Amino acid sequence: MLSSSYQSETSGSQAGRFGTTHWSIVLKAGQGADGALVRLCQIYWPPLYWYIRRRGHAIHEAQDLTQAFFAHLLENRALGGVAPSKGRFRSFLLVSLKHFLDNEWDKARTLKRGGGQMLISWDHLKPEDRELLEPCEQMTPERIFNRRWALMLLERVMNQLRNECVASRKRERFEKLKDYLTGDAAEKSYQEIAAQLNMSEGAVKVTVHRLRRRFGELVRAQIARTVDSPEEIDDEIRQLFAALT
Amino acid sequence: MTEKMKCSSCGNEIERDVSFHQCPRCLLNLGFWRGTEDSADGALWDAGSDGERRLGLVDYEILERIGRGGMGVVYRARQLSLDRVVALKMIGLGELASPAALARFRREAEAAAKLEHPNIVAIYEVGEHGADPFLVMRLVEGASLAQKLREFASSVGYDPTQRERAPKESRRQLKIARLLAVVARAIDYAHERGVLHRDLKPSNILLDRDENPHVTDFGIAKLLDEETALTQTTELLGTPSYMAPEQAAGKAVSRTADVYSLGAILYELLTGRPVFDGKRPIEILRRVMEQEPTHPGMFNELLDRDLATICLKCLEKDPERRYGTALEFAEDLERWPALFFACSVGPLGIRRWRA
Ligand SMILES: Nc1ncnc2c1ncn2[C@@H]1O[C@H](COP(=O)(O)OP(=O)(O)OP(=O)(O)O)[C@@H](O)[C@H]1O
Ligand SMILES: [Mg+2]
Repeated sequence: MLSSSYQSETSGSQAGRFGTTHWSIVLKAGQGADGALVRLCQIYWPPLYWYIRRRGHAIHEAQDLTQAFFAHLLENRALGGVAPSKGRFRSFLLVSLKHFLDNEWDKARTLKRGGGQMLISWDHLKPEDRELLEPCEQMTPERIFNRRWALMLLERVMNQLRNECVASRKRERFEKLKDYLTGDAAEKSYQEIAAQLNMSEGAVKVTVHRLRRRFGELVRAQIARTVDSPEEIDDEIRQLFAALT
Repeated sequence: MTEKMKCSSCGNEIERDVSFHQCPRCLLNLGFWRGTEDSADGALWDAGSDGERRLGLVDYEILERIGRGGMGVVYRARQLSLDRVVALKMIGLGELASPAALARFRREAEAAAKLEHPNIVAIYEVGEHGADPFLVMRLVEGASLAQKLREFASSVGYDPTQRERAPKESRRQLKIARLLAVVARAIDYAHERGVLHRDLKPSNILLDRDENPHVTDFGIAKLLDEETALTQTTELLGTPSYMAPEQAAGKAVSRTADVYSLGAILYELLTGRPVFDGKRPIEILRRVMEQEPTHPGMFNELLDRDLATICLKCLEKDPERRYGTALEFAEDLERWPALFFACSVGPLGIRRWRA
């Protein structure tokens, strides 16, 4: 229902208003509300990290730089000075990161000594790191950033959907059916799954349909947090789609 | 090296950097889905099927967006089961707030839902949509005090050549004092039931068509409280202008913090400017903690001195020196016009306040 409601929203009245959740958290960082910003870093680091990697920094340096960039966002109370007129959160982070890498990071590196805090845990970055970069070898750093952004978004939506299913004690259904989010299975596999889940074949199909629908809603809801107005959601989906092609 | 997988739907290769091993393009495409078919309701499972509980929002049809704040979006919505129009506030912080903060939010909201007062916006339901909490409350048709601020502050700025302005200005002050007294009584009612507001500001005071105030968002600021020391942004750029200094400093707050906020709202209505201003939230915060407010009479020569004194008493840095309860503040406001008019020309000189 939320996704459909976006269509009926009155445009204009809020246009250009700066107030999505994520934006306001960045702004709040200017007031010292660091806890939420730290969470934001924990969510948004991957595209930033991969962008830095693509600019030629080695693994550890890229990790340090990602960390330093967020520390810079946190420490630099000048965030209040970020012109919040309009714009997407994604572009904001990318522009800030570029600016940071071009102008600020030497300064930040010296500043960070002594007071640096660990914001991101790198534990789950495995050695195949290099392999992950491989599909992107011909891409520009911006392209990688956007691709990573899209993948991160989908990954989070997938987790959210899983959590919702688990919360309704439907974990098994989710695990068995998630592969069909993107396309139907052969009739035979639906029959098999239906038998395994002790459901009718029709019920399995309805469930798949619902999972898809819900996935789509969650995608829109995620994106809604990073754009200025609901009218921009479709366009943001298109841009992310382009980044994946 | 393993073979690359292909998407069964679009036939494209699924690259190795896709951790969930499904075609990201086809997944993203699902985002274009619009809920026009069946009773698009955001619920994953039918209510009743296998005795599942509903996922909260099924009962609400969203009509339009009313406004957006720091933590979420407020919609006008129809509650289908009861066929009534309500205000639905989606809090978009689910994943950013810690589970403990969410649990606390729920407790607070449930406490606030117990408040029944003509000047407090009734909460009908507290629920969760996915990771995001939502609140359903009475819809107040009108505008928030934030939207009406200018109107209230309109005749500030006294020009001595315009003597005829004086009566209009005293009527304005009277109207403001009455409004704040009503709000303060509502706050006191909540305090008596153990509920602090914590985020009193003009956008949380809704005015109905007859200009009766309705206070909303009780306790909600706490969602981020523990980890942030601060509460939240205002409508625009997160002006912490209404926050008590002890709250700004991240210390424990009591009802006198709400009394401070009431005073800050009164101050702005009387003078047309916030108690402390600054280019950046952090500057404002520093002033809230360190500077004394400018006497409101500085900005408005026609401001009654007793009313100014009442206002400044709320804004004392030391919570002990403020009104101990919102009720005391309300009572002083209610007594004030009698004194004001008894003397007809005002100012009355300085009254003595209880220690
Ligand atoms: N129950 C309601 N009835 C009618 N309008 C409402 C109601 N609740 C909120 N609003 C409107 O929606 C707007 C947004 O409210 P919201 O509480 O999300 O943000 P805010 O109060 O401006 O800022 P913050 O999120 O910092 O509290 C308000 O300014 C108000 O005009
Ligand atoms: Mg509010």
